[in-house]
Amino acid sequence: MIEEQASIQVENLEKNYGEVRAVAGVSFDVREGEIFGLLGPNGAGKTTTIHCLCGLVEPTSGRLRIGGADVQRDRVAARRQLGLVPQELALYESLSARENLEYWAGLFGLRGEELRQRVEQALALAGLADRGREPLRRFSGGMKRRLNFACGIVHGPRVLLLDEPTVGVDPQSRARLLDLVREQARAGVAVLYTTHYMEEAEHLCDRLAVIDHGRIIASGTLGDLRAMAGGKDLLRVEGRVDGARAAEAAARAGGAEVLRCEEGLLVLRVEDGAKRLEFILEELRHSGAEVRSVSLEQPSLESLFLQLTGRGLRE
Amino acid sequence: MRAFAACFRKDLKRWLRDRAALAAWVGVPVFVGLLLALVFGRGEARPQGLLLVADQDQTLVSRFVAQAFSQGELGRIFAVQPVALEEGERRIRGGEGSALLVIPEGFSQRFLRGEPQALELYTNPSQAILPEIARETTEILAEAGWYFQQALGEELRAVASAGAWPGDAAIAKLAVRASRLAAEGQALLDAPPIRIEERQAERQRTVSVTEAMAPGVVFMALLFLAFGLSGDLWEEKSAGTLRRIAASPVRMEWFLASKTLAAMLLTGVVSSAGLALGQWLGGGAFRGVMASAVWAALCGGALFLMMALFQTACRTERQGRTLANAAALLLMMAGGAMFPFEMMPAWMARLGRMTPNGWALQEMRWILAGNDEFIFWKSAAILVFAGLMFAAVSVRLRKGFAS
Repeated sequence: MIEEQASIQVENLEKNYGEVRAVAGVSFDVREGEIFGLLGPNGAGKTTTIHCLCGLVEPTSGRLRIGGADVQRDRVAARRQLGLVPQELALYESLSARENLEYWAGLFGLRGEELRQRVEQALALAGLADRGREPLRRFSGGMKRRLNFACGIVHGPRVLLLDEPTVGVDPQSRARLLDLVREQARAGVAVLYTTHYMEEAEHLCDRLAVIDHGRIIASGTLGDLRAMAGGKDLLRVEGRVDGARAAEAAARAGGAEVLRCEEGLLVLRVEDGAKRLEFILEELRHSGAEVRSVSLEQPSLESLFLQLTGRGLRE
Repeated sequence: MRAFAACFRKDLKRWLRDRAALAAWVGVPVFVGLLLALVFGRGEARPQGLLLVADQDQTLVSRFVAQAFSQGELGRIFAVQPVALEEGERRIRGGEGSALLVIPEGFSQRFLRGEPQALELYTNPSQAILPEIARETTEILAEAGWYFQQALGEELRAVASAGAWPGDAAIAKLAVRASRLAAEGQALLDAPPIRIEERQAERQRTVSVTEAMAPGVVFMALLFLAFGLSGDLWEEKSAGTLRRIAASPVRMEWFLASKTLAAMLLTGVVSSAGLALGQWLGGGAFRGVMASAVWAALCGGALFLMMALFQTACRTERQGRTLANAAALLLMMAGGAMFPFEMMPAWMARLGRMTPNGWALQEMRWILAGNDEFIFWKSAAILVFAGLMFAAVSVRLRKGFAS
């Protein structure tokens, strides 16, 4: 259901590239101050969705609104409310951090004292207040990432689109970036965050949509999605396992269900896994399996994705 | 407008900070200019041709004709060398010399009797300027000789019949008679002969090496700049900044217009420096330097957009840069930037003048010679050309290239 007051509204978005269907009927909405995660593997349709929202790509069909403005019909009004933080470092290396920010703020019509204040705020927010005059070639990768983020918010957008902003970022810079995103949400900005890192999505997002092959296969809060996973644990068994025998063993153990069985790997969904682990392993050994390692995971987005698609997020 | 100003400032800062590229864009043409100055010297340097004269008459009058090419300004342009007819024909066929002038036997007698006759002039087809000067000079000589014979035929026949070399008294008498005639016939002589001399002077003024080469060197710099600056679109695309701009409220047309204006400013400054250098090397021969710098800036903008079209028409950066590079080199060579039209075979020069930069280069030379007729309409033509390029690049940026 699309809510009228949502800052981002996507309704039945479709995008075809010839015979290839990149996005197939995606719908979601993001409200003010909310962080909405679009989670999916590479090629799932996340970036195409973002590009359609920015107006970079013409959708085949569907309705897209930013702050109430139609992205296709009222392009300028929609873009004025938009901040984009792309996956790549979209910065000018020969300009200083301050000059980069002044340029991006200038594109949105800011000038004079307002521009100066916004630039100072953005530099401070990115932790670059004392490095503003330095050329970018002296910056570390993490500093550039933070500046890339600052360039997306310097004009004070109502809607922020982040396209996998933490790819290739060290853990410290990643944590800093995620804090920056939360600060924006606290200030009332609607954030659409795409990622294929499930941990990031779990810790950051208020609501999530899991996307695969251009379709949303599950959406809701983290709690909703965990419930969809059935609240069951995920048991990964590595070793030499026969598929048919393993299924029989799981049935004998009770409360265990085979999600995946291939050479060297068996994945089971197990109710109350910690208590039943020993019993399941015993049954597997009886069935002739040679177990080399075992791991037990709490219900997560990974297990949900696995449950829905039979594949891992990063496969 | 604020967005336009932001884009303009950004591009200018980035381009001016790329010192290595700036040095190459400006340095290469300046280096070529200095090299020319080293080879040809400053100001007075002119191409000197060899005029072969086969004097089969060997009389006083025929010697006057041959010596006319050694007098005054012509003496600086031509080295006159007497040759036998066969040797002269052989050498001109071998491409040696600018022209061969044949004074036939009996020339003097027919001249004094006022009978029709012909001077034969064989020109070297591989040269453009010098044979033309020789041809026009010969025509002027023939015309002047006819008037001279009509007015002083009797005195000339008396001097000629006196033997190998007339005495001082005969020469003085002839000079006094010529002077009186000139005074009496002032009104009659005024119109046509003066026109001929003016044409001759204009032709001679345009053959200075510096004047011939400097505009070409400036256009070489313009093409280098246009190629280099247009490659910036690929840099913006690969960095992701172009996509980010496309996602902002700024229209692609403003983005492109600001880039074009920055390119025009840069080309204007570089052209001014090049023309100032040319002015110094040419000993102050240029007249419309400021107007030429403005013209160069206009042309710089148009060439930038043309190169931008080549760059953005391709699917990959490698294809785009290769196409633009090849076009720039071809235009440089054909359009008179690398080799002056005067050094080209006539058919190639004709084709070269039809290229956009070749036409603009010709116009710049015209402006530098102090002529600014129709400059408004010619500037309008440049703007129309630039407008078409602008529209094509804008469409390409909006439809796919930016995203």
